[in-house]
Amino acid sequence: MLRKKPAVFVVDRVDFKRCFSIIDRKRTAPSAVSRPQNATRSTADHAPTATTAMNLLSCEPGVPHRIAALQGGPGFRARLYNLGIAKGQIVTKVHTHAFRGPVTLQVGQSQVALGRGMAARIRVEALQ
Amino acid sequence: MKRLILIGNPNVGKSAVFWRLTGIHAATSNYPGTTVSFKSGLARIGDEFFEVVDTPGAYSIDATNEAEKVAVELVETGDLFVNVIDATNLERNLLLTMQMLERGLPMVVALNMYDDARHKGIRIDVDQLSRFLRVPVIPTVGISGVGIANLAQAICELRKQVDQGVEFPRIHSHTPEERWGDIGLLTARVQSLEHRHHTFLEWLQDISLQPRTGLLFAAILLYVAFRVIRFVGEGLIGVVFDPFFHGPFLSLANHLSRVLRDDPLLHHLLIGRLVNGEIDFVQSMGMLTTGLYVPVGMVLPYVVAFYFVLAILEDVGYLPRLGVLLDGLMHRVGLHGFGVIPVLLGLGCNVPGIMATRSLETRAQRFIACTLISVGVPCVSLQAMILKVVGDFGLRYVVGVYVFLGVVVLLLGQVLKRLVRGALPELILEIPPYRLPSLKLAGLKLYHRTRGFVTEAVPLVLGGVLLVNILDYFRFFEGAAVLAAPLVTRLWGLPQEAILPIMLGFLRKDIAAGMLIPLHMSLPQLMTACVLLSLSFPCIATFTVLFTELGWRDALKSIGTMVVTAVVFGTVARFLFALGVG
Repeated sequence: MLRKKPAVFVVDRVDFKRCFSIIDRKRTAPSAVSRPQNATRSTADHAPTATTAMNLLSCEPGVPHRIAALQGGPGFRARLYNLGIAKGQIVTKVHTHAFRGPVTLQVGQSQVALGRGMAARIRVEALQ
Repeated sequence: MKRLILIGNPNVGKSAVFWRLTGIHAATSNYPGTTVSFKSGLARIGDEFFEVVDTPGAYSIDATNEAEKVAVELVETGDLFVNVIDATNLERNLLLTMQMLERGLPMVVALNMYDDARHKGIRIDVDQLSRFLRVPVIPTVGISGVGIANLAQAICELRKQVDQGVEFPRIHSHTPEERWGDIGLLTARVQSLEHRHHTFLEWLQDISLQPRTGLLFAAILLYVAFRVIRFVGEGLIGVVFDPFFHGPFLSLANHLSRVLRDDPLLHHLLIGRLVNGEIDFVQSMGMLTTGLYVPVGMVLPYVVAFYFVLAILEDVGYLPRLGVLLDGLMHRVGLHGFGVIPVLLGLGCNVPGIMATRSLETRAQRFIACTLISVGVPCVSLQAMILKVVGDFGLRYVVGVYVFLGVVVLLLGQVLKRLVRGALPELILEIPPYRLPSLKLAGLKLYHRTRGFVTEAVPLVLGGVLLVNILDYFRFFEGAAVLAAPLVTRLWGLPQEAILPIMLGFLRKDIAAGMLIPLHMSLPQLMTACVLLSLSFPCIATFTVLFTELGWRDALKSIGTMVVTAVVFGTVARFLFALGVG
């Protein structure tokens, strides 16, 4: 009787990344402006090219990227700005921590840890 | 007298420079946010006296948290400025420098940690930097004092210029985007990087931050830290404090006891009651016996041991890494990774722990952090006594108490996170490089913290013992015990006299825990009582800072939360411990 697998157990159809992105959105400050649907989605299924913008969560670790845009309120932008995370600056993602932990970035000479929801709102582009 | 303000990014060594200029010790460590309020002192520089002010670190003139607000407000009151910048991180530090220059403030730049920069292969052309900025730039090493004399000279010259009413160079204002762009160009002109091999410290930096190895590293490190604290604490008790108290001090007390035999009241106050005809340092409850033995003989050794280990962890720069690793966990209780730092400080004493919450961004976060610290983070005094009271039955029972408190914090955090209104932002934290601690500065910090404990805790304990004895004399407690009996006996399953230590916990936790011993309770009861001492009202010092830090409205809410938590989880603890131990 139990041999038949119920349909809900088909795991590969569940988009876990998307589940997480919903949780992340709940956790970030209410100042979060409406973001494009794929802002926090992994780009693993959309192969990144030099022109499509990706965010800091989805970009490749260990490779320098240029910041294309910061999506968020002025307070959010100001805090990142103070640390040198501003449009046009170059950052490298170093680690992504487990349990929905932060990402660590190399910004100039300093290392900065940044919550996931914030990292998802930083659009980056590959250097030419 | 002119006011000289030290201003700069967090963790660039302003406090070390302050110490060098004034000779006044200000706590230094290796993480952003050590200084949360300003400290001022008198310094004689050249022929003149200055009021030197050490400010909390600020990344820019637009404040983003309480601690930065303090710094920014101080800028308005200064006459002269020293902008302390970190030579190993020139680019980021220049943002604040630019903003200061845009205001045309009379300023000297101290290029601090200059030695570190050279070790790292960072070469900075100081003359050129000075020409570009149009202010004097002085390379310094705050920790060792190199370059401080030059800095003092530059301050004197600046002072003369201020007196002459010289117009200070004011650079044109930048738009935010231009500013980083210009800083990038400037840095490229004055700084060159040499490539070199990874050092041991850098390797350690990597493995302690990497997601996989980091947690293992943290577990090992915290275990070692705990063992070292116990080893040092027990060592101090065994070698220094016990021989003293049970040797010369006991014979002195016995002598005094014989002298005072004819004066029962004074004997009662100073020596206390004799247990089997002898003085018992823990149970006698006299000011000169228990009143001195508990804070000095039992708690002080652990205070020294704890702050010794904390100073090393702080100065090396490990704590921010722990914050990053535990960020995910801390979000469960509505905080982010930086919350680890106030909690760890709170394990020493709740007062600095609560002060450190100023580095958290929002009111909601500060409320949660302060409440959780007062509820579930036992200070070292209380911990030392828990180790004594419960630890005699076996270390695993102590662990039981800690695990219970940890679970309470997690559950309460979950509840508060949902109830508290306001934003709970995510982590933004700069991770400093590891630095070898300066033994002198770490020693000074240990000394000041220990001295703080002795001068603040000992009088309070003595006062507490006196109060107990006086109230005992008027049979106040019998009445209180009867009134509180339903709560204490029915809900918590403790003897009704236990209300006395729990109430006294308001004064000092250590003396309160010591008073549990003469009640001859069973192990589960002792564990419940220890848990209650932590959960219920904080001690009077914590109480005061709660009000000043949160404001009376939030502080009252926080205290209400504590009362409810104590009643509910005290009852839970009673049944759980009875089950677990029996």
